[in-house]
Formats: sequence, structure tokens, C-alpha cells
Amino acid sequence: MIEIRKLTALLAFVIVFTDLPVIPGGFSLTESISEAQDPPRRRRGRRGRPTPPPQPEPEQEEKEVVASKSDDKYVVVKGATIHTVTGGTHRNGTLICKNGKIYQISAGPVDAPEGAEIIEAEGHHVYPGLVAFRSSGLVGSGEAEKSQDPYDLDTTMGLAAGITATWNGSRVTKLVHGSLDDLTIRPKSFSSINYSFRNPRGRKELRQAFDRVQEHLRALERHAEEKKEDPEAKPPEDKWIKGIFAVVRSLLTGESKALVRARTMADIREYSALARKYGFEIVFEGAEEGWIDPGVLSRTGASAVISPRARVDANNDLNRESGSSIENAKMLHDAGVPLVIIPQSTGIALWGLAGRDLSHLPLEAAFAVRGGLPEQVAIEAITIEPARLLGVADRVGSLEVGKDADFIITDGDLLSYMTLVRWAIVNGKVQYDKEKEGILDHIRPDGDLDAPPPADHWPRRLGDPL
Amino acid sequence: MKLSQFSLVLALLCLASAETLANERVTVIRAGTVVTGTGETLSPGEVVIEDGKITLVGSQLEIPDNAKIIDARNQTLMPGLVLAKTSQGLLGSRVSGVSCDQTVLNRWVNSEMDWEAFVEAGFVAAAFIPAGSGFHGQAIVVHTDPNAEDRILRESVYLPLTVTGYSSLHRTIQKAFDGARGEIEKVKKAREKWEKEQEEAKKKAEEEKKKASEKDAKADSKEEKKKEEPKEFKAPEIRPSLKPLVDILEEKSSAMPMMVTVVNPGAILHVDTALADVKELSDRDPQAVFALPGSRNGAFHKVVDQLIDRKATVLIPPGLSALPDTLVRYHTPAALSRGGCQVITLPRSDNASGMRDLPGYLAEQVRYGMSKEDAIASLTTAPAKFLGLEERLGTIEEGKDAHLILLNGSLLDPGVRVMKTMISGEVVWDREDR
Repeated sequence: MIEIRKLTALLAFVIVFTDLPVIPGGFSLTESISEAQDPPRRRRGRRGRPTPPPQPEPEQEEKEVVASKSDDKYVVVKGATIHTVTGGTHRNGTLICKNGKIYQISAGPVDAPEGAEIIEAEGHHVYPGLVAFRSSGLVGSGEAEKSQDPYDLDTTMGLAAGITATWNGSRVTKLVHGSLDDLTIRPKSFSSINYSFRNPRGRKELRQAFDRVQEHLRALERHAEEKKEDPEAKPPEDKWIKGIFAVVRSLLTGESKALVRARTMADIREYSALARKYGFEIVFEGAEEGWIDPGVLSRTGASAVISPRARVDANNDLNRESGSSIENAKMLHDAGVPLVIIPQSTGIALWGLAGRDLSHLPLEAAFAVRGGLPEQVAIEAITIEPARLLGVADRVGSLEVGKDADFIITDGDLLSYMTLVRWAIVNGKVQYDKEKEGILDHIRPDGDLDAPPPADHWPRRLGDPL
Repeated sequence: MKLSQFSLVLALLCLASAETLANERVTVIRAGTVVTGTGETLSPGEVVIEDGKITLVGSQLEIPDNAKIIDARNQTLMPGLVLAKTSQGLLGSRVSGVSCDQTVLNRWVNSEMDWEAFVEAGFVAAAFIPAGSGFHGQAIVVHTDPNAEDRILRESVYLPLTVTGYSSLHRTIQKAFDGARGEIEKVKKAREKWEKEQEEAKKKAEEEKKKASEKDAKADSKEEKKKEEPKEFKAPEIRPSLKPLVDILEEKSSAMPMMVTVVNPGAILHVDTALADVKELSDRDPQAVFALPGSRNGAFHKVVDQLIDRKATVLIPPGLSALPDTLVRYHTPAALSRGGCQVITLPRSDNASGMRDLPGYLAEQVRYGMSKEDAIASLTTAPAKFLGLEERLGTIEEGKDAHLILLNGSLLDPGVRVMKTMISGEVVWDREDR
């Protein structure tokens, strides 16, 4: 049994992580194994996710860009190393944006269209804008167009950290400074359920709710069959589906995923068992002890939103492994669990001095690399993976032609502790320019490592007064 | 008032000779300096006041023997100051929501108002609005003569909108203009109904006429005249709390301008987007009258360019602030004024001491880059223009109301004091009497 499970996980892993064409036979084999073991709606590992659209081949040769209408707005980034995340890396590449969308990614130099805004970025690196799975205070709550402070310093701080999109609890929203246009990407909500040990009665009620709604859904299926023969068949009563029942229904129909905070392996096992039994998708936040038995998460098809620097002391009362591990991210990844990385504090705190807030999102990912996670996966965990989990991977999260022109240009490797964001571009507009915002301009100005800090670096300067 | 004055004059005419009386009605102020506010400064200068109006401005004028002369050769005469926004001394609770019809008229007890504080600080006119949030009423302008009964200079002057939160701003604007649109719709429907009724009545009348002519071709024409006159269209009453908004939507010339009070720069963008969401307003000029806060307004440096672009009128208390999270000093009113915005100065606090301390801060505005002329205009011509009283207030010119103040120096001098305040040519406050 365990052998088969391992095999399944491995197969799933191989299929996704190598660019091998999917072998239909192999696929159906795993499918049949899973069908035999689990209820039909069960989704496994990474296979359940929609496969990303095929990558357009980057243009190798110098190619003329046809400047069409004069009111088209082009932004061209020249000479940078372009990390597309989903489509490889191009040294000395060129990135062209048109009207807020990525228009062309080239591996070599390209003539810029007439009237384009050109960013000379030699020696710099281009990454897709980082996606913070959660945040507080970076963007307005609810519909940001009606609640955001367009001049909030925290937005600028978030952009300075490389974040260009985040989830505010109800909507995936872009970080834009000084404007209220095109903020919301789309609404996103997760279902929250409580299956805690501390509340046995609540656990029982939740299971009963699942049973009842499952029975209702089956009745609906039967009704659909009946209706083919008898058009006047009555559908099953569904007025009782509200509150927890509505939550359960959205889980069972796959409309939403469950988002639960589980720290200990015991909690993870309980939630996983529930998810497998009823076949719904689950996302674990925390999962500090996930490394103890990562197979549980992968078999459940769960995603994990983790903070690699989070620390949990081992419980000495237990005669088995417990507590956090620096290898958590690596081991979850090795088991095939999609990873999203987020710092423990999801705001901008103490001007980032504490180092564990959103102003240091890349460093949080770098810490996972320290524990053995491949760099590429660490970068995915702060770009495309949160975008997928939030359902906006078609717009942001990687550099692909047709996606939104949301990217960052850094002065070094994203995961290096030295690296700072030089420009952040959202919707094809420069929203953050390190040399112009008075936040980090005094640190290594113009990328010069040896430059002394300016004499007046305190107080910081926000441009000259008029 | 005018009528009673006139009759009084008539009565007096019977008693005294016309010539003597005419001279007694004339007041002449002889001042060391006359700051007219039109760019001209006379020193020395004389201003002749007749019937509460300025009739002559100049120097070395010939003055009738019997004229009343106010000798102020060591003082400066200038137009009285105008306060563009205040809610001092009002009774009752704050207004909230959409209540465009609220005024201060039932919110003060005239005898209990501290008018002395206004005239002592040199303010001869003030625009009062009820305190509150949302569309919290409409402004009326009054003059500040402590002894006057009838003090209103102009009603329905502007429509204040006070922003407390972004979401509530969007809700308030949507609710307000949805309501106004509903009222327009109501009137439209009523008119359609009336027109339909008219048509039907007409048809009916014609049919009856035909019938009548068939029945009796020789019927008296007098009978036709008896028929009902067509009913005048009587529009249903528009809810008073929404009437000013209806005027704005219908682009009536009498529509009041909106004056938006904000506490942070983001609100200006939110006002723009919220108003653009109102279909009828989407292609109008962006909102251009804002009241900014007095403290920590350095944050507004982010929108100074935007305000300058739309040539905004900005009501702002003077004072130096810093760019956010820095120690870099920034003077928002001066930056706005130099960029070409119409800056109107408000007291730093809306009370007697705030008004009294104003001249010192005005000097500071000049120190940080506002021109002297603009600094003085920000309390005289600029508010007079904004309040629609530029024909009567703001400068010393022939034909304008004689609402004047005498100072012991220039308004921008340190330690300057108001020596006398005149409203309609009468001295209503005199420091020597204190």
C-alpha cells in the first residue's frame, strides 16, 4: 500500500517537475490507482492544477518590433538577466511591455519601438513581481478601488520589497502608488473550517455536515439523471444549505479550497484525513511540523503556505519527532507539495528592522534555500505558486507574453541578502524607483558597492521641497 | 432694512435741511496707508464712505466740512478679513449623511454668539456651515457686526462635503447622487403623466366637441369657453436635502459649488473616482475646491501638482509641516500658492484664539515662499471671490461695502493688531474702548 502511494507521489512529481511530455499510459495508471483507493472527487498532488499555457519560444534573433498605433505605450527593459520563472532565464535579454501587458521577451537585444520608455538595466535582474499570499496594510481592504490610501507608505514599502500583488482577505490586489486604477485582479476567497481536537462536538457536527451535503449532492446527480426521462422531476430541497452547510458545499463542489492553520503533525493528519475522506482541496498555513511526514500532505493533494523561519520548540513529552525544522520546505517540496512562502508577520513592521515581515519576503524564501530547497523552487514559492493558489496565475506570477507587465528589476540575485529592488513596475508603469523614493536610496546608491552613504542620509529625503 | 432707512431719511428730511444731512451721512477715514487690495497702496490715503458704501478712494481729497472724520494717520486701512469656513459657537449635534438643506440658521442664538471675537480679529464676514460629515449642509455668509439683527449677506453659497473614510465617501457620494437622480426621475415621470393626461383631455374635448357639433351644430360658442382651463403642470416637490445635488446634476447656473474637506491626500483621488462613478458627472471638470487640514499637511506634497493642474481653490490653515516620516520642512500653502492655486487662509483652530493668532502665521506663509499680495489676498479677495461676494467685499474700491479694518501696521508685521473694525461704515469695534 505504502509502496503504491509513494509511487503515485513520485509519478505525479515526475510528471510536473520534468518537462517530459505526459505519457497517457502512465497518467491513467496513477489515475486508476487513485480511483481504487479514494472517493472520486479526490485530487492528488500537483496533477489537479491546471497546466500552465504552452510557453512561446523566446525570440533568439534581433527582431524589429512593428510600432503600430502611436498611442500605444511601450516600456522596454534592456540588457538585464530576465528570470521568467516558468520559461527559463535569458542573459542580456530584452523585455517589452505594451499597454501594461508583456508584449515580447527576447534573449538578445531588440530595437525598441518608437517613443518607448526605456529602462537601461544592464547588470540587473528582472523577476516577475512577487506575490504575497497574505498581507495586512499593504492594500485597502475589500474592494481596494474604494478603500485604499493611494499614498500609503506601506504600499511603497511593499513595492520596495518587490511585492506587486497580494491577497487582502477577499480580493487579489495589485500594489499601485498614487492611483486608484486597475488595482483588483479578481476576488478570491477560501473556506475556513475548524476541525480542532479541542472541540469534539464541533468535529462531529462538521463531519455530519459533510455527510449531509454529500448526500444532497448525490441526490442532485440522481435528479439530473431522472430529469432526462421525466422533465417534471423535482430537484432536492436545498433551502437548508446555509452557514456551515454552504461552506461545506463550496468545498465539496470544488468552488473553494479550505484554508486551515495547522502547526502540529497531529493537526495536519486530522485535516488531511478529513480532506481525503470527503475529497476537497485543502491549503495548510504554517505546517511547521509538516517535515515529519510530508507524504500526508502530498497524498492529500494539499498545498502549504509556510514560513521557513518560523520556529516551534520540540515537545519533549512526546516520544516521537516534533518541532520545526530548517528542512521543512525542502522535505515538503521533495514530497511534491506545492509551496508558498510568506514571512510570519504579514505587514510592514518596524521599517523592516525586525527582518521577518513582508519587507523581507525574498529573504524568507532564501532561508528555505539554506535548508535545501532548490533556488528555482524558492523563487516559484514567492511568485507563480501563490499566484496559482490565489487563482491569478493567468495574469501575474511569471514573465510570459500576454501576462500583466508586473515585474521587478533588482540589482542582484533575488535571494541574496544584498539585493535591493531598483525598480518595481506594475501595469507597465514604474511604481517604485529606489533612487527617487527616500526609503532605501542612501544604501549603495546607483548600485555602487563602495559608495559612502550620503552625508545627509538622516533625515531621509523625499525629494527636494518645492 | 433699506426701506426703513429710507423712510427714516424722509422723516429727517422734514426736520433738517437736505445739505446738512448729506454731509452728516458722509464718513471720511484719513489713514496713514490705505491697502486697497487692488494692487494699489496709498500713503497717505482717504476713503469716503456714504450710506455704508465706499464712494471715493484717493489722497488729498476735498472733504465737506460737516463730514465725520476718522483720523488714523498712523494706522493702516485695509479691507476687512473674510472667513471662508467656520462652525464656531453652533448648537445642536453634528450633521451626517446626505443633508444638503441644513444651514446654521437654527443652530445659533444670535445674542449668544461671540461676534466680538470675529471683529476683534478683523473678520467682517464669515461663511457658516453646520459641523458634520458627508453632505452636511450648505454655507451662508454673514457679516459680523455684533449689534446687527439682519446679518445675512448671501445664502446657499457652497456645499460642504466632509470625508471621514474612503469607503464611506464612496457610499455617501453614490447614495447622494442616486437619490438626486431618483428625484429627477420623479419629476420626469410626473411630467410625462401630466402630458399624457393633457393629451387625453384634449382628445376627449375634441370628441365631445364633435359630438356636440353633430348633435347641435348651432350650439352656443359660449359653452365652449366654460370648459376647464388646461391644468398647469405642478412638479412634485424635490426633497430639500437633495435639491442642491439635483441642481448640480442638471447643471443649473444656481448650483452651489462643492467644497470637499479632506484629511489626507488619498481622499482627493477617491473624490475624483467617486464623482467619476456618477455617470452625469464623469466628463465634467474634476472637483476643484478642497479644504486641507492644518497639521501634518506635508503629506499633501504628493497631490500639490494635481491641485495646481486643476487650478484648485484650496482652503488651508497656515503652518509649516514636514514631509511624512522625515524632518524635511515643507510649506503646503506656499507651494500651492506659488503653483497658481487660489489659496484661502483659514485659522489654525476654529475659535477666537485661532482667529486672533492668524496675522503671525500669515507672515510665516510669506517667509516660506508665498508672495505678500497672495498672503493678504488669501484673507480678503480670494475668500470674497469664492463666496461669490467679490462685488461687495475684499477690496477698497468705489461701490463696495465699507467693511474695513484699521491696523497699527501692515497685516504682515509682527505684533500687528486690529485697532478698529468697521462694518457698513460704522465702527463696531474699537481697541481704544477696551
